[in-house]
Amino acid sequence: MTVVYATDTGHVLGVQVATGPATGTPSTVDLVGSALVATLWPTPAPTGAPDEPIAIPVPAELLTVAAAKDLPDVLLNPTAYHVPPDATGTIDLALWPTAVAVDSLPDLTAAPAGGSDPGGDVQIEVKLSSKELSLRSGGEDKTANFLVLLSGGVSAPLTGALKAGAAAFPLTELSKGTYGVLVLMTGVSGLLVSRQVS
Amino acid sequence: MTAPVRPTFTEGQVLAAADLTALVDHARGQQARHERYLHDWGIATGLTLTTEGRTDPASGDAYVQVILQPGVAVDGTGREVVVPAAAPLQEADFAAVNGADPATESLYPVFLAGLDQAATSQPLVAGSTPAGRIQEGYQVIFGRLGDESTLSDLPDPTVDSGPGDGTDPWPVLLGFVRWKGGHIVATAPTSGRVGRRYAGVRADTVAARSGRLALRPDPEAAIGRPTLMLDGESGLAFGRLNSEGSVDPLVNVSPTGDVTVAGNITVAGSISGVTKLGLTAMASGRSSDGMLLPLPAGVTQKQVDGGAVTLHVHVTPRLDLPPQLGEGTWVLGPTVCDVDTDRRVLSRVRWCRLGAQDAEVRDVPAPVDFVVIAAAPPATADTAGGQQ
Repeated sequence: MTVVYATDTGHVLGVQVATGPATGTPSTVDLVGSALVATLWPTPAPTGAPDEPIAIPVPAELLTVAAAKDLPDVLLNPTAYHVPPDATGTIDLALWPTAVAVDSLPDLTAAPAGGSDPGGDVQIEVKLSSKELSLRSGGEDKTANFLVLLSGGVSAPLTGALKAGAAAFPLTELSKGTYGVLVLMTGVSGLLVSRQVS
Repeated sequence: MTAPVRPTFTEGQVLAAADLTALVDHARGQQARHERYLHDWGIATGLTLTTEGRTDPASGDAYVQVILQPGVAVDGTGREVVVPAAAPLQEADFAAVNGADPATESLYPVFLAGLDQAATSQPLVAGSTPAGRIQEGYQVIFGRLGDESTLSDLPDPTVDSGPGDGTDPWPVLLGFVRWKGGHIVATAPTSGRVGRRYAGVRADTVAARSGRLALRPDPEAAIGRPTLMLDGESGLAFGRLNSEGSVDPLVNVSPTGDVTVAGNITVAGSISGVTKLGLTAMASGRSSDGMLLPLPAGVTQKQVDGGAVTLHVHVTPRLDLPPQLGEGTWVLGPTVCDVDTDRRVLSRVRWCRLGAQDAEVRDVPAPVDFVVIAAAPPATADTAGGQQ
């Protein structure tokens, strides 16, 4: 099994399993081209309104290819898995806790220990305005590394580490509309959400 | 140069010695020209260099006595060289050429050459004058390092000449020896890429009388050895010789031109000509959404872009319930399952949870099973050879 993962955070973003004996690990470009396209499918409207998908390209230079031990569930939900930082050879992929996007988190000091519910979910607040993207994490790791990408090429990939569980990035004036946001934060599964800028 | 002269005789003629000598010379000359022009010179049979272990009584070092075994060779003048009995090689002959203590242990060549020698003989008739005899003998010549590579420099005899008498030896390479500590310590049939020279055949036509012509790598037929056989009934076969004297074919060309190969075929270049079928290559597997499907091994994007190869891509969504959807009874329907022009997977399945008051509907990327078939159109004389 070959996986493509985000170099900075370890999130698996793509999986391919070829029939027959392995013939070497392909290159990132072979597997994704210039970018791996994460597609956000809007929740279907009962009215049958158009539900155009939102594409969020992840540039190939932010990705790494590795051979991993077969794990069928990775195909169903790749970003729930990650490549451990010190992994070598044929990798044993590991499962992240589930990330749940919320519109707002309570005061961080009031967040439950670990920010997790009994089911292991971690709440992530993603806010987008015309001038700023902000993140807050309800998870335990208040210094998690992250990679954030916006649809429409409106911003370069945003990378860094949380400070006290939060981070914010100024943006060039965004026009009104719906944007897709891919949030890859160490410690939790990948999050693909849409946010409205009004 | 003169044309060969054949002696003739008349009734009552007094035969002189020269008449009889001319008779013998004519036959010898004819035989030599046959050997020279219808064969390549070299060893015809035997003439191997064998060894027997010895120990130097002074130093206690081991060495070998080299023995030239009986055999026959034909040299470049067409002279037959016969070694009738095993003969030990003399180390003094080596030392006379190369010195008793050469500074290298490299392999030195050993040659055989014909040499005419006066033979002691008895009178044919008691009381008469002893008849003249020439012993068609031989000489063993130790060469200097590298002398084996100068054999091709020997001058060709004139067309009408007979066999050489050894005055200008025509050396036939028998093998090599290694010298150490004043003795020969080993022999070798080859040095680098140069080895014993064997006699051959010069012919523009080789015709069998049994209807079957064989080429084999050994003097004696050996079961299992590679053999090339041309058979008037079954065609050309390369394979291993079997106990019936025929070949178990590995490659066969029938009289109608059909080629059958038992092993693998490796083509370094291209295959040209007209074929009835195109070539296909295939890749298959599973992929997640957003990935590029691979090309089959050996197929390049350039071939696809250039139209030399046509791709047939088939994707089928995998309909396993994604774990992130949680508990409940879900029904589903694929909404998109396709690839774009870059072979990027676009796959979505719509899941709907039953039983909820407000039906929950989710569109989720779905992995796919894929098959990519690359098909090259049938090659023709106009299009084959050169498509990369």
